[in-house]
Amino acid sequence: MSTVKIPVDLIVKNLEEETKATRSRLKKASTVLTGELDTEISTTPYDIVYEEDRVKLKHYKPKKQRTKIPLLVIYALINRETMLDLQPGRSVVETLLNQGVEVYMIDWGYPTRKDQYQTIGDHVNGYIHNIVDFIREEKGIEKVNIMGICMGGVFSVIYTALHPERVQNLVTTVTPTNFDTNQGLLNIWMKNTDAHVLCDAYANMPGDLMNLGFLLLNPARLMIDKYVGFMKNIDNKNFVENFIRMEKWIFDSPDVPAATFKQFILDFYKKNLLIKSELEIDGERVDLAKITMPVLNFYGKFDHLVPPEACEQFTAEIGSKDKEDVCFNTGHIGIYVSSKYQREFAPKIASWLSEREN
Amino acid sequence: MKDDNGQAEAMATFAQTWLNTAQKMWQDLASFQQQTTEGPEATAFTQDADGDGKYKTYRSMETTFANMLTLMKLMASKESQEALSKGMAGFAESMVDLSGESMDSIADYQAQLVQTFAKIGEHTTAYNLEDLDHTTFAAFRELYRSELQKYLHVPKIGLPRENHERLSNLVDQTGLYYSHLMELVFIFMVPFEKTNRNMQEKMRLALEEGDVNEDFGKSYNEWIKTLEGHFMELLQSKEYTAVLNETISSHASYKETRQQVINSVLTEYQIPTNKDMDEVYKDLYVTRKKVKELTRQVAQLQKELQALSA
Repeated sequence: MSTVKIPVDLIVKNLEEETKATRSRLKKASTVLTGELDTEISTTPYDIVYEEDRVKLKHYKPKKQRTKIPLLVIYALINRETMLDLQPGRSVVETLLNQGVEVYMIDWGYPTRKDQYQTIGDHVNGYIHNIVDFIREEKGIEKVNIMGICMGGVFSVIYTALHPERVQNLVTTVTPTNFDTNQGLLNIWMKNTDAHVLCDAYANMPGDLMNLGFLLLNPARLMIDKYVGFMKNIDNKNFVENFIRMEKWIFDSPDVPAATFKQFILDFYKKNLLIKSELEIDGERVDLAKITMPVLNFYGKFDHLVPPEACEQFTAEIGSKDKEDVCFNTGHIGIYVSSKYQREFAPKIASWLSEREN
Repeated sequence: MKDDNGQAEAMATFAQTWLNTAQKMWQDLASFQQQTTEGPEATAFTQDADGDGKYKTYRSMETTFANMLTLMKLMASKESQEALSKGMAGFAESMVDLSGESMDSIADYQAQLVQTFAKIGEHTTAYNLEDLDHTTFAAFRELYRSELQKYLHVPKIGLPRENHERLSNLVDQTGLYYSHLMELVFIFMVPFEKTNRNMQEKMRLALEEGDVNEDFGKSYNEWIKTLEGHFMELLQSKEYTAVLNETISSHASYKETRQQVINSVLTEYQIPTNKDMDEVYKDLYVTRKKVKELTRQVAQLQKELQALSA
């Protein structure tokens, strides 16, 4: 039997070096963490130009406007729209403004118990409709450009199908329209559990509970590895600032009104009515064939929340002739915040809108 | 047979002695009560309204004692004692049966536990969660449902019956919810356990081949990747989804039952409950919607009017 020699001297040497490096890192980390950190998010200047109940409309003006028709950004009810303006140099809003696009963005606010009865119809035919009318009147235009994000994209699709005469161009980003897929854990869980019963117990669907659910989609990475990475870079001021900004955004989770959440689970995840044009909102059928304006549809190849299969069928079901699917090699959030797609995503939207205007 | 007769006679003698003592005690007590209520401290409450020289309390007690004595005499008869003896024996027998059933259920539960413990230390394969064993929790719930839950569901009576019912429901739902939650936590720990065992196995094989990994970072990366793989396997499994669904449902039921208890306390103090506020919010929601629609209609009519007048 051969005996194996263990390189004890090498192991001890590595251990010693590692200990020295850790000590030095912690010393620097102490300076970084107790020093002044710039962790502000949503710093691009804006005006609140419209308010209705808890909902506000943010208005961002470009220095030099290149497109006449403004872009209305409709974010999801889950998490906050501040994700589009995380920090200077990593901001979709900033890039759009630099490209000369005037931006309006809906801030859904924080629903409370009194908002529990608000349905998808109240959001689409109520708040969004009123906001579109406000912009049309304010700018003296007939139609607006709409860009929807995730659940906000679903609202945008519904609004556009119900009120096509008010929409010039539609941009959907990571927008689930086909829920009949087993790609992605969210689809599996929502179809096979009765998550909507939590709405009866809590009145609204608590944001923290949803966040816990999102963390459970990949516990090894999101609950362990992420923080190990933070510890490894704890002495890097820039890294720490970016990390804290993301933490601020991720855990800023408003509750979702119970009626909306229930409807989303039952009509979308369980019955998949939208893509079949069988969904009814306030008694009116949402017919995707009525979407005939130009449509640009973005999604992420590695999106674990809204997988490609949930997004790519949309353009095949609508009535538009001018339509384009863009699949990026990134995840759900990467489209908006990764350095690589900062250079591709917003500039693509700006040029696409500009081309259609001219 | 001879033994039985002797036992019955001894029982009869014991019962007779006990009845005589009890009879004497009640008679003494009654006469003492009569003396005290006849004194100057006798109140209008104790005095007889008809003025027949007796007092209400005494009369009532006298009747009660008389009834009790009659009952005791009847009980002292040989036939009654035999029946009592048989009844007691039957009762004891049913108690033994009942505890026997409970012991059987506990034994089943223990057997499940032993099976689970026996699996610890068995060989494990990476990315294979087939030996996922969480039946202990199901066994516990079975034991709870068959042996404990029925006592919480015993019909409640009397004035505070609704409060008792609410509290019993809360105890019941809390038990069920926590058993599901513990099962979810347990199932969630399985990937960690499997990953660690898997990594240990890999390290052992590497050591046997003389391959000593001195890079901690590399080992961590391998561990987290394996853990991620195990989690993906688990989170997509039907077992996990079923446990998750049961935890969600039991959590919702527990929350609702807890709210009912809180509501009853709040109502007692005349503080509006969530249910009360929800009714107000509903009215507010409907009214606000109606006002918005009417405002829109008025604006439309004003526009049309302006167009007509122009």
